[in-house]
Amino acid sequence: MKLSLKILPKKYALEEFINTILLLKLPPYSRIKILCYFTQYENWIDGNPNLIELLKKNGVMIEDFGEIKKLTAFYVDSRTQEKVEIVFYTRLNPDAKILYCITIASMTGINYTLDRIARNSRGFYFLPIGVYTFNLITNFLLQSDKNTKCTYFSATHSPWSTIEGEVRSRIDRTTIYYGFDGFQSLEELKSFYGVLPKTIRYDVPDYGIFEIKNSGCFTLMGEKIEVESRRMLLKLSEIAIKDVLVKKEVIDAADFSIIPIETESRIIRIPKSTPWIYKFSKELKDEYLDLLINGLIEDEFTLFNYTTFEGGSFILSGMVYDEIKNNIFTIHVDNSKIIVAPSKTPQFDSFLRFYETLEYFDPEGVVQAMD
Amino acid sequence: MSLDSYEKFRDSLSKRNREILEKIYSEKFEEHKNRIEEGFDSNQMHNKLVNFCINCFQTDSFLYNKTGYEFVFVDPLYQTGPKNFDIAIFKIKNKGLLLVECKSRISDYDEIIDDVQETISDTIKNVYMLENYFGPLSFINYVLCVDAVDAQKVVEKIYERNVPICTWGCSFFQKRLRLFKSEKESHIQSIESGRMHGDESLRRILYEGHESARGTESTIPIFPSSHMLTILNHTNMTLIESSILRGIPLDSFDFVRLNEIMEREMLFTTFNAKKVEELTQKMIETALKKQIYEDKEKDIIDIMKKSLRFSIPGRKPSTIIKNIHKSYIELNAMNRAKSDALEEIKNVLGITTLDRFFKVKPEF
Repeated sequence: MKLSLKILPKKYALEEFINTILLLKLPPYSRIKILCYFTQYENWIDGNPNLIELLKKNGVMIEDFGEIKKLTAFYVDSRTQEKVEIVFYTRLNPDAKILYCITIASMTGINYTLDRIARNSRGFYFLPIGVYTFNLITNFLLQSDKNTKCTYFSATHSPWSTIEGEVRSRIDRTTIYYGFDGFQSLEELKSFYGVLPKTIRYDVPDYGIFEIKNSGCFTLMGEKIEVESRRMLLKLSEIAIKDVLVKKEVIDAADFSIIPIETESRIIRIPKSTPWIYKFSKELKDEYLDLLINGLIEDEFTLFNYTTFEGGSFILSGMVYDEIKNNIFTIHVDNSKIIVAPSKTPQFDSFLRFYETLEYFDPEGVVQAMD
Repeated sequence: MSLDSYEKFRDSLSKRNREILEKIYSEKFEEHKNRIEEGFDSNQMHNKLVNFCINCFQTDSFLYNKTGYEFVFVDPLYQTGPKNFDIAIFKIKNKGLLLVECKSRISDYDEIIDDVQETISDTIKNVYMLENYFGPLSFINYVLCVDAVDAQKVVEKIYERNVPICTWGCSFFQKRLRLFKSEKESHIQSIESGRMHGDESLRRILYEGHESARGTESTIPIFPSSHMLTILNHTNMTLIESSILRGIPLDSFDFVRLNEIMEREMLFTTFNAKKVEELTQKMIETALKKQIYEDKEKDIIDIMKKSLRFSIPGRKPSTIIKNIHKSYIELNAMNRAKSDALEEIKNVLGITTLDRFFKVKPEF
């Protein structure tokens, strides 16, 4: 089976490619999507494995289209047992190290291919869109068109979140909502049930219908004027990237190095670690310590060699094993913040994943560098 | 005691006495389990206190920038014997060394001061070893770092006993490190007696109290003096991490792999290659004894050549870490409880020796 986005095979410069996409006629019933992934790569050829090798290892075929690369991936449809081919046109931004992908593949297809790589492979991760970034996008759309409506959202509440809601805050819950009053309903459900958005669909009368997922997937659900709608889709992804990059840059500044110092008799190696900090939005009460621990366990961060100090305030201190990204680091948590320090060369994807968990724990917290 | 002598003895008893023995055993088991857990927990607290001090003096920290003192080694003289300071902090410019002993819990002030005094005299004998690293030292300040709540009492006791130890009080929650002074002597007297730092900038900042931007995060996760369970946890988690990263299956590993990890972890100690190997060997022996590892080649005697695998269940790090803990604590507690139970049953049965119960004399 094949439902792929097709452009003329040739070497594209970036601008030419964007123009092509803006004007491209889509196959019927297909929707254009933009996916953004953070990577550790500045280009396609450096690194061990390099980006090409990483993708190939995961069954992705790569063709060179100039500044653009065409990726072809496959998965087996679990219902029909058919092998499905999907295509992504991608560009690696060398400064931000973001792999920018355009596709019409289904969410299932994306889930089995690039999202799977982002989940499991080193040096590759989603663009995490949290509450703060969603709000930025919402405000931007309302400014662009004051009649923008949220017509659908999905939102979840975890028992360990500091956003508790008014009722039964220790219950795991997911809400899916359809209706033209989505913005209000999301606020109401947040205050009543403590849910936070995972997906939001915006109906922007002048531009089209856009759906944004917390995993960094932007879908154009309905086009008004093709070029303008698609331009808006690009714009939305840029807003998200710009916002998350600010946080990622702080996280990326974390480091662990071994420094030689020279004494009179020899050279001694000493450690130098630079952490990043997640500052909580408020002083947390002691009871939140257990909730945070539960949240870490649920998100597959295993604590070991750790201890807690309690008495008026709390400290949690020890080592963390990220079971998904396979990375060890160390933390110090107290009532006002969490200090995250690498214990060797840091791994940004594991830290981003940790940041996502912390953002879900306290959505109003902020990422800070060490003073 | 060999493990099966307990079972042999138990089976030789009447039903009633067997029940008594088993009751004693299970009480002792719980008791020992709790005690071992406590020992591990208190090592964790100690580890965090040591790391708090390390972080305060990390190169490029506020304290380093203001005073020139920077953290260099953990357990700087560990190889010379059991008495040994936790941290060495050095200032290149004046060749002054701070040796810091951290005590996270104090039950007896005198005992702790005795302990540090002994450590000082051992250190004096081995100053040449420190000078191998630093060159000729112009002075050493000995420091006892305790919970700030206890610090004033400690410093008064140190004054009473007239020993040259500086006292740092650490408040974890405020992330504050402060130098304490006895109320019974002046600043000048304290400096002359070695109870306050001679280095002016260090003394001033610490006496006013330094609030660290850092916390207790484990810059150095394990030290040579760490609890063996702490070492087992860290080394094995690192083994799993590196195995997955390199795509090496976990069903077989050996001394070389583990020693590679240990070498990296011991970078900031004064351990040489041989000492690192000894520690790795000790860890493997413990892991085998506590049934955490399984020996795949029992006919090979040399631990360095053995091929090993985990004998505890699980593949996920979270499961493995839980089972290392369980296996270590329970096997330790079991052995101690059996030995205690055998001792205690003698009183219950009114006998002085268990010899007649065994054809072969049990090993205690």
